[in-house]
Amino acid sequence: MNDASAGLQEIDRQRIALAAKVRLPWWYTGLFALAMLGLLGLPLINRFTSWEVGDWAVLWPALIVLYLSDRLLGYVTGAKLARGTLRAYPSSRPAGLSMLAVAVVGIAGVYLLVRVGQWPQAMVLALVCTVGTVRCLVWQTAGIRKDIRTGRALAS
Amino acid sequence: MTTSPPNARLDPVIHPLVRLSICGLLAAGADWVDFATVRESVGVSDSVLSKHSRALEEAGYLQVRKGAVGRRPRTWFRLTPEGQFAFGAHVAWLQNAAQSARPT
Repeated sequence: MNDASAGLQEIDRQRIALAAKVRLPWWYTGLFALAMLGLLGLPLINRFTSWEVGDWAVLWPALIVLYLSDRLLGYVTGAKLARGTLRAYPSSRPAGLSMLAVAVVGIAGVYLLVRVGQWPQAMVLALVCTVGTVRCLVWQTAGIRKDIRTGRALAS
Repeated sequence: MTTSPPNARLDPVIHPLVRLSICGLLAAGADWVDFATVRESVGVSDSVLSKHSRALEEAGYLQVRKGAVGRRPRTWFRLTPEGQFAFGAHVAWLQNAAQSARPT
């Protein structure tokens, strides 16, 4: 094998090594699911308490957990992913957009169901959409791994 | 991370296998990669990695950020835009060289 082929093989090896680092630890998935459940269940919580309680006890903590766990993930894995995931990793776009759609439809659906007094159905919808967003997160991570492995990740 | 199709060019700074390996990891798709991760992935000692990272930094190809997690110091690396471009050009050169070395 010549020098050039050996060099190209080394680059491929490093892509595979980095892709292997992009894994979601159990605590990250757990925190994400809890935060999403909090966000999706916010209209339900507001039904039994006040908006202020919902905001301070659920909304802000959920947003802070999502932000901090994202930052912490880079420290734990030793590799911080590029900002603007949907742009930097094209294969993660379908999953990322699906996650956004599930979250938006879920929040709107739960809000409407709570308004018409169907809170048991609202709880089920919040749970179903939480599972949906977690599945999208796993799917998105697989897309990021694929782009890194195949050299499709774009410059940040 | 790769840039737009560059002009193929052998880059003497990137060409040594250890530096090519470092750049390959940093260009693969992460924004920042920490020192220990690079060291393990490239398979070199702390001192060897420091030496090669300094050479890349002096060429303007590598950005180094030092921080700490609690009391533990942590060093992070990433390629500069110049480094990404030079790496892309070097990879294109490697691809051309590998193709022309292939028997017809």
